Amino acid sequence: MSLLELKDVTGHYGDLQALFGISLTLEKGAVHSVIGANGAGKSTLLNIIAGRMRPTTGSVLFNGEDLSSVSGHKRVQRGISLVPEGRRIFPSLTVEENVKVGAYSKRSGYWNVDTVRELYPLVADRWSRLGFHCSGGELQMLAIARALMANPDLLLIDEASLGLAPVVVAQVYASLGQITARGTSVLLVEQDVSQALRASTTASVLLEGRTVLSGRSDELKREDIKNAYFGIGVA
Amino acid sequence: MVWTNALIQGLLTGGLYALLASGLSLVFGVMRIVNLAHGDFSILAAFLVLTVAGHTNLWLGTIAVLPVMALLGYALQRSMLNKSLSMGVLSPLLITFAFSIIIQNALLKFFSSDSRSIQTDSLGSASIKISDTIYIGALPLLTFAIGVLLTLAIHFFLMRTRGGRAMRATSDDPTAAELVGINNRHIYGLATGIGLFAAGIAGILFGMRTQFSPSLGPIALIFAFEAVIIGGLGSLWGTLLGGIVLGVAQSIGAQINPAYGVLTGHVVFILILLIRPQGLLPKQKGK
Repeated sequence: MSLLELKDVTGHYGDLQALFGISLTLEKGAVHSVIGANGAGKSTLLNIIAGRMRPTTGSVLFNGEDLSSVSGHKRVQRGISLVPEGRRIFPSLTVEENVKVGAYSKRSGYWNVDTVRELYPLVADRWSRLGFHCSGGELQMLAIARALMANPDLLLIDEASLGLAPVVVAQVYASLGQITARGTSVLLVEQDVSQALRASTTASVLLEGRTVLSGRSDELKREDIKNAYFGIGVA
Repeated sequence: MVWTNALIQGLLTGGLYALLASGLSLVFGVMRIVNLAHGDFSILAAFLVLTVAGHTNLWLGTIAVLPVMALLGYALQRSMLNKSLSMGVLSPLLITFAFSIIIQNALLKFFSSDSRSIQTDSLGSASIKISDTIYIGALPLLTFAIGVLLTLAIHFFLMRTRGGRAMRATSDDPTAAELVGINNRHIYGLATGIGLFAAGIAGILFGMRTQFSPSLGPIALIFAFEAVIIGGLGSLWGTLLGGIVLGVAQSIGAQINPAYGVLTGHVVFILILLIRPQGLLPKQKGK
């Protein structure tokens, strides 16, 4: 049984259709990246999986369970955590409190205060600082640390590299290996194609709400990805 | 000496205002809702205690009514107010305004417009002698102590407990709170439950100290609202300070001329709005 299975998912914002029949399967321990330009529907896809919006049609199965009637906060208890675009760190909570509030759902597992501090020493260094005062890189690491505290089976990361210095992006991506080594699967959404392909085992390219290319990350040809990304030669 | 006395009495009255305002402040801090029925819920609690105490005794009545107020707050939030939150800022205001009208009229129907008071036996008249001209009433002192204790308790809950941390997180960013597994609707229910619990304590102590009638809710709301604004919106300790400032202002005004008491409180409120609109102890940016 796959960890995550999307079947023919469509999504709308009012009258505007953002996703057209997306199907996707993610196995346990895998890293899948969804690549696409702005407005391709990547974040919509993550929001549907995390329960922040409902698909118009289609289904989301997680560990074989249909999640259509499971609300967002209950999906965290089921084992799905989203690191949202913009990080959404709680500004009036300290770094420590932001990390601890991540364990609200009380799921047990490898990740706890000590192990996330070890994973992100920068977060540990800023322990007493307010979330409001953290830099972009600190916020991104803190957002992942907070999500890990729920000990998710599936970690959804929306635009991990957005607005970060290359050295910080490298650190964030380096940590993904340690996260998957503990049994967590990762679904990445990225505009940075190179990073996404290096970090993932499989990848798909979204264009205007449709999957136009998918396959093993190490087998996808750069030229094909470029064409799919920009819609060159796609009917 | 009369001024010292006015200051002390004002300080103690401020404790009551702080109690009235703490629930209002918490609910506003978490949901950005101004509960226009807050004062009416206080008066409702006083009437409920009056009724229950009539059949049992005052302390049993208080112990029975306060959990009822908390449950009522939770239930109203979960059943009605949560739905209104997504419908713009006007909807919660209108709904709480409706609660206010319903409570006032229900109280009129069942208790008439007569003024009542909660009998406290010796507690109401007991006092501590400080000097020949200054006496501190046991009940005002108890009210002030409960005001400080309640503020401390809410502070401890918000800063030191899992539920309190979740409440602060929800106040910061409800969407992100859902993403860490927090059920916002439950948290909002808890906030209103605590808010009405505090309103209940305030109403009962108010009813022990002075006479009350069904129409008194809006006046209680104004005092609570002034305390919240003077202290700084959403700031718990600010609310305690705001209540004290309001109480002292009223007391000093009344010392100048008995008719100026409430008016002086309003004037100080307006002055603070003009000079320091963020309040005396505002919630800091990012906090």
